[in-house]
Amino acid sequence: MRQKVTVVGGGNVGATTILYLAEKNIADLVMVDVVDGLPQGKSADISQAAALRGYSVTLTGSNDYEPIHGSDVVVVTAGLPRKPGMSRSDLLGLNAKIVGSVARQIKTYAPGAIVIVVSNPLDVMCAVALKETGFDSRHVFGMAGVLDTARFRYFIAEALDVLPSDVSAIVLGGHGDAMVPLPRYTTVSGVPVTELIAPATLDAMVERARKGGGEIVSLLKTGSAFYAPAASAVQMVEAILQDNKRVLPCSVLLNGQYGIHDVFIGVPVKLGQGGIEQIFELKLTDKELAALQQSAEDVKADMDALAKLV
Amino acid sequence: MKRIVIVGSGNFGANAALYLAEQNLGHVTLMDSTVGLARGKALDLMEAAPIRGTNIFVQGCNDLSGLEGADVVILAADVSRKVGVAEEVLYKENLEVIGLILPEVKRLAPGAILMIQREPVAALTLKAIRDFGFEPRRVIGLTGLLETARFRVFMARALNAAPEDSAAMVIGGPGEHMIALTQFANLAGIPLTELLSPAQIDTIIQQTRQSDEELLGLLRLGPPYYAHAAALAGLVAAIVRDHKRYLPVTVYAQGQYGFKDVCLCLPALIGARGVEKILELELTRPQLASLTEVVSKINGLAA
Repeated sequence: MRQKVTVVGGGNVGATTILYLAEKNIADLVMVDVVDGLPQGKSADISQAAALRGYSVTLTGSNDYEPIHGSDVVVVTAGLPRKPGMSRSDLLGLNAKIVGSVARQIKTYAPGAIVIVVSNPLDVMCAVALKETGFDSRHVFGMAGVLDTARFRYFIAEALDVLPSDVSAIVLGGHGDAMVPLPRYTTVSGVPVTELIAPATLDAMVERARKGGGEIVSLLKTGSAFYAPAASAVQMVEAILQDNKRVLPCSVLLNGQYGIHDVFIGVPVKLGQGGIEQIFELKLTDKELAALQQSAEDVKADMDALAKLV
Repeated sequence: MKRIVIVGSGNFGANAALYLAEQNLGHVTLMDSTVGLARGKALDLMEAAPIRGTNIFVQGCNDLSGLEGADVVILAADVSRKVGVAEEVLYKENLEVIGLILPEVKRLAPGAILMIQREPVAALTLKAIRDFGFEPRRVIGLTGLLETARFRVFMARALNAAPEDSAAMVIGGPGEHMIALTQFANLAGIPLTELLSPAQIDTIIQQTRQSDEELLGLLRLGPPYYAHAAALAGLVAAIVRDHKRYLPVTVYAQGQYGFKDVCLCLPALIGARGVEKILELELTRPQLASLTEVVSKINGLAA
């Protein structure tokens, strides 16, 4: 039996996620969206590239959740997009409602699934999804750090003119503005980037990565990034489906690690078929730890704000 | 590294850039008159590179200066193709647009191979060759690849087989004007005619002809683009890597099948020089009759 992945949300992030997954040819794919015709149309379009791209998995588009039955992984991209000038937190109440209702459907139709949340504001939406599914916290987590590091890695690769995938990096903390970079853990094929790039230049790259989502929004004007976010989500899905045991920064529920309790925040984890199989506790400097804890406080504040909304 | 320029950064253009980057086919310039659009999509694609393992430079540009030194130029729609616009109106609009772009292609990228996705494809391809003086081998209209891709998928579905094992060839024009050469379609070499009944094959033809309309009906906001962009990437690969593949594309006929000074979709040998040869196959009488009808229809606007 083929594995099965569901992507909830038929916007650009959802459809591009389906596209990248189809190219892997490892799992049947279901796209769910509330808009009539949209998931059916996009799934059909991507399936019509099958002969050219050499995949033979089944693609299904649906407005209801029946077809997601038996999904191994569900990627939640549903939610309103961030408009120019809108902060992630502005989206809080609106997207919490959407993600909450999606999570309840997942609980009903795919109770054995691992859930990857992509909807923003990411860390809070993870908490909503965990609460509404009632799943084990190793099975509900968010995609943020992979994207934040991808942007940071690309800026470094561009500056050094090296293969982007040869740059590896780890970031901690919340998504985007709240990310806590660790330049000393950033390397080019093992060579610490601090040996290759001056601190001021590196700081500028960190800052650009922090605002990476906003930079794309300000260019596109009518939408937000989707290629890099979809690629990031797919890397996590692959790690689970193929039990790759990849070490990736993901937003996970902390229970005392780094002195943080009951908050979703980005930390390096081991990702495999069991979902979050290990949370790495890095030795941080006092400054880094303080920044991470501050980031967690910010997420907590958003969660409190959300609790007051409902 | 070859330089590929995509003029028009809507869904088709941007996803074409995605496939080109995934296949490491060359450095890509996305172009669009809407400020920021091409740059935003290019940056987004680049930020996926560390994850995808690619090392292709994708850049965005909002004027025609980016054409400089291009090896391949793709004329894609700048925004999604408008739905429900009469063909004559579309032709007039796009003729105006290519009138601005083609002289710049000649000036800045004199050796480039030109691909036309803008519609109507055959009439615009003919114009590019006849009025703008592009050598016929260097102008390729993008009709045929998508139809073939769809035919293969529908055929594989009917046979419950892997789509990549199916092979087919179509000629003629887009949608309703497509003529499927079912006598040559096969699954891993086994003739389709031995695997399915004439009625079943006819269903596949109808599905293929109506697919664009069907997807438009579902998507509502614009035409589909993923399969088309994937098809384009295959064509670009054949040129950039000199694959010498027989692909169904819209080309300029110079006597083949009895047609002269018109454009239509035919099986063409595609390699580094562009259209290197047009394959002349034996057609049935009805196929040849349909083709004659189609050719006059799809070239009528450019007459």
